[in-house]
This record gives sequence, structure tokens and C-alpha cells, in this order.
Amino acid sequence: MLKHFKLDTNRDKLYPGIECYQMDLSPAVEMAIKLGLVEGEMKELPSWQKFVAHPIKAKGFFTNILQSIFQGKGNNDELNVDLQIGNISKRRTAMMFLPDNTRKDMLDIIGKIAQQTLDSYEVITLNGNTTTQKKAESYVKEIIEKNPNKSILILSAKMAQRSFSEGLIDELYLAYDKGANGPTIQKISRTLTPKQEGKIGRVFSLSFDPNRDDKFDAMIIQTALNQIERNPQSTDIVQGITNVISTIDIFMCTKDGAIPITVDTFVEEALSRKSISRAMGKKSDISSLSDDMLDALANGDINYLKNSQKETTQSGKTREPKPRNNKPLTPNITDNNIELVKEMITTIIENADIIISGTNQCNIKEALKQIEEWGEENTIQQEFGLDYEIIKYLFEGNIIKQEWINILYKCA
Amino acid sequence: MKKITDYDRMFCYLWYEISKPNECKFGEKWVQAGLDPLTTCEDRVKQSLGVRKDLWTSKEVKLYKIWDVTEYSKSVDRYRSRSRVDDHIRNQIGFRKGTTGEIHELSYEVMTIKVNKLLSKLNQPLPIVGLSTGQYNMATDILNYFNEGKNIILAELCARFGKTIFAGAVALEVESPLTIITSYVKTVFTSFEVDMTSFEQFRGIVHISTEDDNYQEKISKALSEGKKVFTYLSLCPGSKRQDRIDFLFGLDTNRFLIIDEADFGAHKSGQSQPLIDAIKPQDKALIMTGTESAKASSTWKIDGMISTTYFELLGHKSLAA
Repeated sequence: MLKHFKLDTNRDKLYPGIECYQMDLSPAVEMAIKLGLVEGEMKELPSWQKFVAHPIKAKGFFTNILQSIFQGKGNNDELNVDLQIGNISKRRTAMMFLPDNTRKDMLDIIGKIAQQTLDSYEVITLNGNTTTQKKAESYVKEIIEKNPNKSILILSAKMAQRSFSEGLIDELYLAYDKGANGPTIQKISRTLTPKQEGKIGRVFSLSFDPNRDDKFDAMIIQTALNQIERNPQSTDIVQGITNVISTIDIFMCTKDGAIPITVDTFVEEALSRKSISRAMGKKSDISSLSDDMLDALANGDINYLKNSQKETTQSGKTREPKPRNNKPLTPNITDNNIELVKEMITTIIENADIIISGTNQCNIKEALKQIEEWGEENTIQQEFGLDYEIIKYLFEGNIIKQEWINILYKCA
Repeated sequence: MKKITDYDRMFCYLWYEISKPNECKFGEKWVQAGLDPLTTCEDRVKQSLGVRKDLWTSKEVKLYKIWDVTEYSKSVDRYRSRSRVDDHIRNQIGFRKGTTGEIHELSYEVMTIKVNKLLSKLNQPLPIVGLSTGQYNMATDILNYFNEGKNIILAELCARFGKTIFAGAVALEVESPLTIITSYVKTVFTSFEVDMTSFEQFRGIVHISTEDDNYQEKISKALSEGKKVFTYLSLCPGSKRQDRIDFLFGLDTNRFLIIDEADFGAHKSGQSQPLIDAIKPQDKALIMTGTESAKASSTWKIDGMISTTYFELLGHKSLAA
């Protein structure tokens, strides 16, 4: 109970709604390949990363995608946004984020391709060649004002992810393969600036492989975990996700229009994408870890367990990733190190079944005690590629919570 | 306060042109009983644009704020239509463009802060702000943490949460005499001061920037008079930053530290370490960020964390509908 403030639920009514759409680009790419519109590496394992590296080489593909999305052309109904949302937009104000590391000159080329393709649109390219982060908002507003009857497509890579508000934006396209959760949430938020009452921000995740597309997972799972945390009696992640999905709209785009994604489908796919454990890794509070522990975790071999479990995935990478333990020790905590620590914690969460099934103990602290009684600390150390004492501290210090283990391994 | 009433009221309004953010127009409008003040003020602004109504249609002109100045107009015997109560207020604000005009050479935000402070000083009742469900719940969670003796709290709060009002509300509930608002992003301070001067609950708070020449004197005086102080401290490196930190954390009082946009610049040890070194065991801190909470808190030892996502806000919306 607060002394000075009362609850005003009318304020809750002001949040713009949000609809999330997973859009599968693979049929459009296949068609573009058949028509000979795609050259080089894009033919093999297509990715946004490859597109932005050589946009001219994949001009045919991008043109095809833009025409399908914004003009309903090309018989790619699963990309026709008007069909998906069941409405014909009169004047669009859309924003598209390309991969974070898209070069300025490449973004300029992409902007030109988009402008050539969508001649009834005003395409605004946001990069260091056109404006600055500080001036991006007024730059966009000015162009929108000068073109009151034209639809608008704003293209950006890094710029305007934060401190950029334009209430007219109600369509947002995430045109990158994988991205950290934080920046993805920032980008999604660009369509949540209130404008008129009843505004709905529509977010489209443009993916070449929807089975691996986890852009919406983090927000949904984190919400479910937050709710579980506030209601300690519940450890059922499926129920938590059901509650979340009942309050939001998340769709899969099909040739017959968008269909809602069911909870069962979402949970199954999220588990296979390891999104739940990643969300837990992200939520882990690492502030009590010493610098030595952070260094050890940051320099742990994240692929140690993964490589022994599955074949190399076709992630579209053209080079083999360097093992993390080749990196020099970095005594200072850097942004990159934090990401590495969280990734390592995620890996440990994902593989905690080694401890649980090996000891037949759901309580992880009891399981560790058992391991010590057996004198098997070295085995665990070898399995995880990390000092046993650090693994133990992660569980005993509640950095990896017992509740999460209960949720993931249905221990409760 | 701004709902339709069955009595006549006097309102003031402030608008600006988007392409001229450092000038604003301050005026008055008599709102008759039964009329919506916002619509009436909007009509007045449109009318005042004369043949340039296209500026309104194209949204080049933005109505930024309206104030109910009824009580104030009564107190200065100007409770009537066309009483020029705006001029009465304007004369106390200054920064007029020319000698007779209604344009002020101030940004709309700074003008808002000045009008808010003046009306507050002159006892014009200000609107009372309520908290959304998310804000209310999170504020309660933080106070629970503080009651448990957990003093350094990390808050990951999604877009549209309303962090500024929320943090101000927590500061008021915490009841520390001195609230230090700090950030690497200077625009944060203007947002805080606009919000903290707009609502009744924050009346009486003294706002002091540490960039003022005599900020030490002002803060000490206000605290000695038992006033609650909100002070603004930029984390951008500079020769005076450490002196300011030393002064603020050397005062014999309890402090509530708010770090806003904590994942942007403020998370680097060059910015955070001086605060970590200065903070006293009895002080409380709220480290706020929209995303990247791990980055935001990387150099702090966190006692507790709260987090909310946009989907949770939508959950509250569906319950409120």
C-alpha cells in the first residue's frame, strides 16, 4: 500500500496493442532462386547477413519480398501483409530493421532498391550518411510531413533503436536472423509509441527458417517467468505461457492469412529452440559473482557440451566459430563478457540434467551433495568444462534457481 | 481536474512548432461549464493560427500542455473571460520574444517546468497522478525490498512503462530527504523535472541542478528547512563531477539514488565506480534500465531485481478493459 499514490487502472488502457507475426520467407526465396533472381551464397543458406553483405547480388530476392509484402504481388500470399492482417492499409508507415552490422554504403544501396521497387512509397534510410541518432526523429517527421499522401518505409540497421518516437509507425519488420533480446525489444518498442486510441503495433519477424526464429520468445517467456516468480505456488511454465499468450496475439503467416500460434506449438518450438533456458540465463543475477568467476565463465567452452550432443547445425555461418577458450583472459568486466557469462550459465541450465539424472535427485543442492559423497566432482568438472566449485556456487548462490530446474525438468 | 465540470474554468495552454523547439506560445482560454478543456484549448490554438491552419493539420504545431488555473485566476481577481491571466503569469516567467508578444524564447519543456513551479508556489492545485497497475506493483515490490534491508535494486522496465513518474513515486514513498537523479543522458533530467513539477503529490519538492553555480548552498539551505530535495547529477565526465559526488554523498542525510538509462554510458566503471565508492550503507539506490539489465548492473552488487515486460502491461490492460 503506497502512502501518496493510488492505483489508476485507466492508465492501463492507454497501452497500444501489439500483434506479432512470424513470416516465413523460404517459399519466396525458393521462387526467387527458381527464377534465377538470386546469385552466389544466398542460393545455399540464405540469410539476412548474406543479403546485406551484397544487396545488389540479391536484388531480385529483395525486390520480390518487398513487392509481396507491401503490394501483394508475386503470388506469395503468405507474405502479403494486407491478407495477413485482413485489412487494406491506405497509407502505411512502416519501419524495417536490417542486421545491426549492415554497412552504411550497403544500407544506402538497400534504400535505393526499396525506392525503385516501391515507387509510391517514400523510403527513408537512417544511417550516418543521412542523419544522426539525435536528429533521426525530426529527420523522419519532416519527411513524413512533406509527403502527407505517400506511404512511408523507414530502413535502419543500428540507428533509431532507442530515443526515437514516431506514433504513426504501426508496422515494424525485423529483417535479421538472430539478435540479442535487448536490442530486439528496443526495436519492437518503436511501434508502441501511442498515437490514436486503439492503435495496434504490428511486428513482423521475417525469417528464412521460422523453426529457429526466436525473436518473440524472450518477451513471452520472460513474462511467464516473471508471473511464476510473483506466484511461487506455480512452477508450471506451460500454464505461465498459456496465460501470457491469452493476452497477446501471435500469429503464423500462411497462404490463407494469419493463424494464431497455439500454446502447444509455441512451447514445443520454444523448447527445441532452447528459448526457455536462454530466458532463464538472461534472468540470472550475476552481480554476486567474483571477477575470477566471471572470467572463468566468460572463458568457458560453451561448445563443450553442445558439440557432444548434436551434429553441427546449419546456421548459415560461412566460417567455423572460434572456440571461446582460445580467447585471452580479460580481467575487466566488459559488455561482451557479460554476454559470454550469461551464455555459459544458459549452457549449464540446459545441461543440468547430467547432474539430476546422474544422481536421481531433483533438488540440485542435494544432487551436488551426492556427487561430493561419491567423489565425482572431477567428472562433473569434465562434463561441463568448468571448475566444479563454480558450478556449485551457481546453484548454491541461487544464480541458477532451483525453481528453474523444477520448471525445465518437471521436478516439482 | 481536466474533466468536464458544471462550472466555468480558466485554462492556460502551451504550444510550439516542431521545427522551432526553442520557442513556445503561452496563452489562456476560458472554458465554459460542460465543455472539454482539451478540445476547447485545441480549438483556440487552431483559431489562433489564422490562415496557417495547415500547420495544425500537418502536426507541425503541437499543443504540449494545458493547465487549470481557475484557483489562481480567482486569487488575482482574473476569474473571467479574456482576463489576461496569461499575461499575469507570463510577466513572472520572462523570456518574452519582444516586449508585448505571447511567444517565449524557451523550449516548451523548460517553459512547462517554470509554469508548473510558479503555479505550485502560488497554491494553484495541480492534478493528482495515479499509477498504472505495473507502476503500482513495481513500486510496492521495491518498497518491500527496502523494508527487508535490500538497498540496491535493479529495475528492468519495458518501453511505455512510465519510468519517470514511477521513480518519482518511489522517491516520495521512500521519504529520503535527498533524492539524487543521475544519468549519462542529460535529457533525462528535463523529463524528470517536467513530470515532478506537474502533479500535486510532488508539490513542495525543491529541484536543484548540480550544474548551478551555488548548488551546494541551495541544497544545504533546502535540507535545513526540512524540504525534500531532488537534485540532478550528470555522469558525463568532467572536472567538477567528483566534487559534486563528494558534496552530495558527504551530506549528513539519507539519500535515494536513481540511475536512469543505466545501460547507456552509466554502466561503464568510469561512471559507476565513483557512485559505488561514494554510496553509504544506509542509502538506497534504484538502477533503472529498459533492456540490457545485466549490462546496466555489471559493476554493482545488486540486492534485488524487479522486471516487467510489455506483455505484462498488456495483461493489465486486458484486465482493466
